[in-house]
Amino acid sequence: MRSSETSLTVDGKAIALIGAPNSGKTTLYNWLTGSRFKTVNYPGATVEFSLGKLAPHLGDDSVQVMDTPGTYSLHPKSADEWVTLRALYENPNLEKVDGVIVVVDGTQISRHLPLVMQLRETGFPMMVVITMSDLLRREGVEIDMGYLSQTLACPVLPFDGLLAGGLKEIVAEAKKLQWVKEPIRPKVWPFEIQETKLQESEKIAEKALNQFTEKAQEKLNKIVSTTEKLDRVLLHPIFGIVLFVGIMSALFSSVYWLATPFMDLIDGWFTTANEAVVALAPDALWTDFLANGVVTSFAAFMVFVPQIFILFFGIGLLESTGYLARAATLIDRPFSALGMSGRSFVPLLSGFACAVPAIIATRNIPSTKDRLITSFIVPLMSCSARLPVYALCIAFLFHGDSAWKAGASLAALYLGSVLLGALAAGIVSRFIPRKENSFFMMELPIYRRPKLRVLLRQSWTRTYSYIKRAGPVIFAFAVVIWVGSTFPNYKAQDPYQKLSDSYVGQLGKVIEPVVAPMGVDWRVGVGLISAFAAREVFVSSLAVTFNITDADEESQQQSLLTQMGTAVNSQGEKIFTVSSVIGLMIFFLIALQCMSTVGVQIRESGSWKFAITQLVAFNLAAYVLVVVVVQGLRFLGVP
Amino acid sequence: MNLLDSKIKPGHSLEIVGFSGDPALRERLIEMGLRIGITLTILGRAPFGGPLLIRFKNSFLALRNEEALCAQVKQA
Repeated sequence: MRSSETSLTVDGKAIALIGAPNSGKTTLYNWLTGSRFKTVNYPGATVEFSLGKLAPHLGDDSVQVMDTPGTYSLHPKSADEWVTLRALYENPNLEKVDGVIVVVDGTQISRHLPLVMQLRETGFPMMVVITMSDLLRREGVEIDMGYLSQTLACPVLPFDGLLAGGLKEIVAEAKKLQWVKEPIRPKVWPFEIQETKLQESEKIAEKALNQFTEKAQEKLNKIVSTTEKLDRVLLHPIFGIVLFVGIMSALFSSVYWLATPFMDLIDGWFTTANEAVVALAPDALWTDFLANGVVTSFAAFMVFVPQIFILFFGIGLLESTGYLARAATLIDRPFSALGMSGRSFVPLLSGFACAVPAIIATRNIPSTKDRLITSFIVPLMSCSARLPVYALCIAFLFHGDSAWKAGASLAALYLGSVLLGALAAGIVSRFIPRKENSFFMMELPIYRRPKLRVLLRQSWTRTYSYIKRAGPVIFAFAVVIWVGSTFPNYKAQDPYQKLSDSYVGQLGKVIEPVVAPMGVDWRVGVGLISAFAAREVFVSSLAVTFNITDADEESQQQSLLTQMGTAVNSQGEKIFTVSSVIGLMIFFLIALQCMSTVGVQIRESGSWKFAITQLVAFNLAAYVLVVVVVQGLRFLGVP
Repeated sequence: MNLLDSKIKPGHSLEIVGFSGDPALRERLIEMGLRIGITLTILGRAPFGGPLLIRFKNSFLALRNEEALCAQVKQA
């Protein structure tokens, strides 16, 4: 039993929800806890489980509920399932759970009962909740709860996820759960026993279904008939792919278009805040720090919050309707050739918007190896922050007079990022050992209408978790970069002089021999360093280092282009030439210059080593390739 | 024959008669509800030779080739 000294967060009862994926566990959890829950990471694992107090209208604070990743049995075969088992036996936040609610999908009773039987063998105080009772009622199927309760020797209650019917009774029963004996570890059933247990479950399920309902199985089949009809189109080898491309395009264009006004709004707030801070004491160092260090760095990552929220909402929508599992199935074959699985698809596509939510989205991949490969190559997908740099380089190369060449170059860059991602995945998959079996047995849930309220709250929880996790890391890096680019000559009025004298400027000059083979000088080097804060900073940094004071953005880019055309290095050679600009584009295509990504990667992979390897590998590969290309082009006579 | 047999076409009903291969995989197939004696229907395949789509009772499942290979079946 739990001793008071080691109890970390709970004084009263702690009830764990256990159930198969798609059994309705999270819906029950949401109803039980209201909005009072937090997600906790299991130490050393990226998989989360949630812990929450009972919603106020359900009674006192003495009961906490824990949601766990879906599991088919107590013999784990994936990282997620291990978390569920550990959550029961060695939970760091609870020490030990006081009871288990096994969630059973009412339309899948015979398949979900073996988990109930396994749990019963362990000796945990338990009860069973039969979900999807709204669907069952609609088809006129009644399950004999009394018989189930008697046979399984524990309370069995129905639950209606749509209207939360049965919630009060569930809470009342859960509070009554009492220890009878110490729980033991789950037994592994030998093959023959497993067969027997399954036949037993089938018999129990049939009896419970047929007690009050005639032709129960036929009625259950009616529940899934719509799904089967929809799947004939949505999983069709041709239409399925066309619709898939359409649905995904809609999702990702909405990430851009829907988010833009909100991003502008947030940007506006921070600009106002920035100005307000500067106005407090215009020339003081502390206002400069607050405005250009703190406020600017927060603006740089808070501005992504709308995109992240919309992306999570979109993914949540696809997940809750049941489509996401189909999408993963459709794309599984090409992905498995690269050492990943269909589930890697959504995170990679998200990477084109921003690597940060994309890396968080890899949590949905059950296999550790697939998850690591996916989050490793996510930063290669050309995120939206690279677009301003690509646009500047392309405008320089084609002087804006050849729209189709510019368009083709941009398409080539995006295609290039996909091919590089595939190449990188192929390479790293050889270096990451596979610890667990990689089964791709995807259960395709029936199509269901999503619940807006739940979707909105879930998206917000995930978004908030992004802010909370990435925030401190980004803040720390931003402060370092501000200090580095401000001191020691912080009194200089001329921004060029200030930057040139600063530590970052000095560092730029130190690294000049390194960036010189890329065909650029120290000023571009400073741009590359500051791009580590956010890639978009590269353009504004170039503007500062090439001494452009024009504040208006349109003309800033125009005058920057003119300036780039005439800029020369200390030897009097042109800095921006066709070869060096191509080199810069390649550098931005591959290099990982995003502290937010590194920060999130450290948190999510739980490993500095992994994030640093990624950082070094991408930047080294980018550098070597750029040097080869630039020097090669020059050797061939390209300016 | 196994579930991947080329003679098996969409719409066919098959009965599972046994399992072969990796014991962990066999255990997982059984946990998902695919036990000996049950009847399943082939719904089709995902594109590019992707997972096999099956239905049994009121469950839908996508299985990769290596997994489908483990299930021995006969015409139901």
